[in-house]
Amino acid sequence: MSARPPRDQQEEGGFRQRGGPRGGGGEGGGFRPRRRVCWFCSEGMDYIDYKNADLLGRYVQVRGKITPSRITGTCARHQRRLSDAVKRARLVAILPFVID
Amino acid sequence: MRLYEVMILLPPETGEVKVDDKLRLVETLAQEAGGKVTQSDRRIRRRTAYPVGKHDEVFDMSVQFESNGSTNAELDRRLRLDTDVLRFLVVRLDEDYRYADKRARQREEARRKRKPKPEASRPEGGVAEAAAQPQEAQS
Repeated sequence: MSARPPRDQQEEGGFRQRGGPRGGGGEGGGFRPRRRVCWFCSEGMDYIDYKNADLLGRYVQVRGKITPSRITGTCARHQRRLSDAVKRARLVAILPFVID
Repeated sequence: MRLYEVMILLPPETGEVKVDDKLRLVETLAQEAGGKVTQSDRRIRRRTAYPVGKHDEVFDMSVQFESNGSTNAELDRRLRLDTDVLRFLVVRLDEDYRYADKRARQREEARRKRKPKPEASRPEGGVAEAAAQPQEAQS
């Protein structure tokens, strides 16, 4: 079995959490995704700096799009702040608008 | 007084003199608006995510300053006319910082309110611990 790659090497679905028995699936074998927590809430980070390229880079996809909150588990409040920070970072060429 | 941050991208070959010029410009305009520079950060050359004015590398500097905002239009105009400046971005920080402080306070308060619960839910343990303490003190 191969180990899970580090987050920065993961593909677009890197944040997706698997369901199944370990993910909270019951005896019925139904798929129930594991509950995701907002990373910013758990870390208590309320200001997202647009200069923090490493952090923002974790929330953009391989093509440069902002990863949706349904995939990352980021709460609506932090997702708004995150998307503002990513857009500012794009303006000052810290992050790309698009990766082709 | 409001807190702003301006990030200025300069060509990689920019000398110290020009960097100082930009810093002085921000400082002067902040003072005119009744504020001051609170933090200046000269960052090293960095690679850009995409070519900016045919440059793959830039020298970027960010300056935080307090101001009432009255001279921001002038700062904007001067930086736009400056041929050395490849790109700049002015952002307002005080609202974000205030919000972050408020949230931190709320979180701290919620934590304080949550704390007494576990102690109240186990009175037996509390009694046993209280009884054990004098013995430890004696030994």
